[in-house]
Amino acid sequence: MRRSPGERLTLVLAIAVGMLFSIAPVLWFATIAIKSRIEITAIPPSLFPREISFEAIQAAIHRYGLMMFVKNSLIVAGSTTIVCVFVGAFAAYALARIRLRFSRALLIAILAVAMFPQISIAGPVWRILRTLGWLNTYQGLIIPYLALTLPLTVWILANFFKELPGELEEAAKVDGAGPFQTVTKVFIPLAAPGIFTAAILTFIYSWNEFFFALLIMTRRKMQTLPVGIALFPGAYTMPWGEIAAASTIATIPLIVLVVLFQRWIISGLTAGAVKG
Amino acid sequence: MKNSGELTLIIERIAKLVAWPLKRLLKSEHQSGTAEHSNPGHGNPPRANPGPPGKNRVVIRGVSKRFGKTQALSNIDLDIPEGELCVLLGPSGCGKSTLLRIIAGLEPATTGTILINGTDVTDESPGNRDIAMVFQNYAIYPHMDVFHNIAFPLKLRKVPKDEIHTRVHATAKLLQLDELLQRKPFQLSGGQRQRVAMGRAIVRRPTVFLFDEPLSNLDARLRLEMRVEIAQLHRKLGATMIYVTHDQVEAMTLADRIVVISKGCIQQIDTPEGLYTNPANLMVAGFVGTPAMNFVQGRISCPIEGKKSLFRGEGIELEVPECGPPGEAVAGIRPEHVRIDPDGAFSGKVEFIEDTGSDRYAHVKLAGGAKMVLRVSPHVTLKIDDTVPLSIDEQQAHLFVDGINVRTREQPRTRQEGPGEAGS
Repeated sequence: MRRSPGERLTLVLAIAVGMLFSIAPVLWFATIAIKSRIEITAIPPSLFPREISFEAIQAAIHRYGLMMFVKNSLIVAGSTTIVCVFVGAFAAYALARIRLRFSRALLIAILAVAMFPQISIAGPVWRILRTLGWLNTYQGLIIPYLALTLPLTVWILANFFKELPGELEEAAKVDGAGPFQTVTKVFIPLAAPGIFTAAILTFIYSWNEFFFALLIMTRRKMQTLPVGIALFPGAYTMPWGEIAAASTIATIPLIVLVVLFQRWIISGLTAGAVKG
Repeated sequence: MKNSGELTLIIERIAKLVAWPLKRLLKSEHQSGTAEHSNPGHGNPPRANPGPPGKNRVVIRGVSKRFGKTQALSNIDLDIPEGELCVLLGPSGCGKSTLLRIIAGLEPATTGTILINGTDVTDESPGNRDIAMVFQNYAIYPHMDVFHNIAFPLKLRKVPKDEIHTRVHATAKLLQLDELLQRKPFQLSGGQRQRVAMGRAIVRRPTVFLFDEPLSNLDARLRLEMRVEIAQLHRKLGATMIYVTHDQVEAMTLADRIVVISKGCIQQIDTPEGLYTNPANLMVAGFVGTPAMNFVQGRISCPIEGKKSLFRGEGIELEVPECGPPGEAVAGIRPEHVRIDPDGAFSGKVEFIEDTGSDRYAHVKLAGGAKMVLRVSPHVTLKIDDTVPLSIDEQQAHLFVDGINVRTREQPRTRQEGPGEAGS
């Protein structure tokens, strides 16, 4: 399809505005992170750092224990993602491929569960975790995250599995594969785009989640990045540089993941929309 | 016409087929000292599981299948002896694929039992039935290369790695896939993909091979090639094979025995030749043979004392063998059993001529209104609108009363179930 120059100009402008709108805050933080302490609070503020300083980054790491939060976040988001995709794949296989009487109703119920506002389950979740003694533990955060991310994962994967030709499953059966092997050796590799999409969405969600993390992780040592960074300011201090540095560092893993797997994610998000 | 064109190609293929084993023989002599020689136990083409000789490998007893209100199969009994290539033939929707899927264990039978190798496998999972199946859409795993596709069933059975290696290579060699082992399915042509699917079946050395319309996704030329390959494979492996198709040419060229199925019932079980020369009913008669058998509606008249009874209908008259009960009947005459004959008892007007190079078919309309196709020699000059005298080889003509062939009813060759219907 060929566009007229006018159309193309409008398109480019629209994209530019959109990109500026979403990237500007990130760039602002990224530049603050490498400004010197004086320059951060200078008035009028400078758009680009006059000299590059790693002062804020070093302070965030050493004084505020940024790497501890990174570690906690990696453990929580990583475990959530792995368990979520693994459990989700089997649930999705059952719902998509096994003739169950209520599979449609089950899928809708799962989606409905995903729609609950977090605040409505926060109280019960906290009480359950306290009874179990799981407040301030990794599993105390991973399990609620699983409950919140599994529905979407099951939906994405179920749609993927539905699209796979039934003969492949039958071929696997004839070849001697049981349901477990059919899922792990045939379905999961074939639904790789769906798996990546689900995994990345789960990871991003658990990496960014704030509310439950704040509620469940009250001990500083167990806190994840969003909560950790939010609690950087003291009673009399507002460490802008450190917050900016920590936020920038917290964003890097997500950018790397998305850039690495973008090809998969795009095909994952659109698959199932159109019959191939 | 297409089918006669196919016929010439078949003849070519048969010539190649005869030459092929010789070539292989020469080749293997050249290659002595390679895998086959140094490793006599593994390098040979894999053979089917040897079992008690002369036994029925697959026994089907009283199998029925219902899908909701639809009766897909009713009360099927079938024995398939060792080493036979048995074709299940029928129009689409007749239940032949359902029967194959029940044998495979992919579909549970509503009633009845399946025995494979003497063991009741009715409730066994497909993986425990010692069968291998080749699907219409190949169903090879897109994420594995050819080697891993073929090796997959062996890996699942925890066969040692060295053995997997030798068996996959021997199978690949047999199917001429040895150059393609590292390729992914998307890099293969349709025929190669189907060969990979066959490789995956062969490598396991199962008791029974099941083929579910394996050639219907291939183009006409490739279909012919693969048909020959399957026939060769059958001979080489000596394996029991059940093959589903709706293509009667495929069935006729491949089968040791054909089971004609229609509307969920077995219509006739016979050799290709038997089906062609002695169709049990109108359904089989109309389904087998290209061009199809000519049917003429008519009546069998009451015998006058001392004379034979006569079939009269739409412009032809036939003497009825011994036993003609009076009443409605249909005469069935194959195109090659009607000929242009100056002394012919009846005549027809040529409406259309089909020339295929090797054969020529004339469509004629008889004076009585019946339409017939007859095979004529390409040397005969014939024009549209000519009126030609015709005669029928009465020995080869069939009479169907209530849909059943009078001739086969006299000497029942096989079991028949349910009345047939014409032209389905």
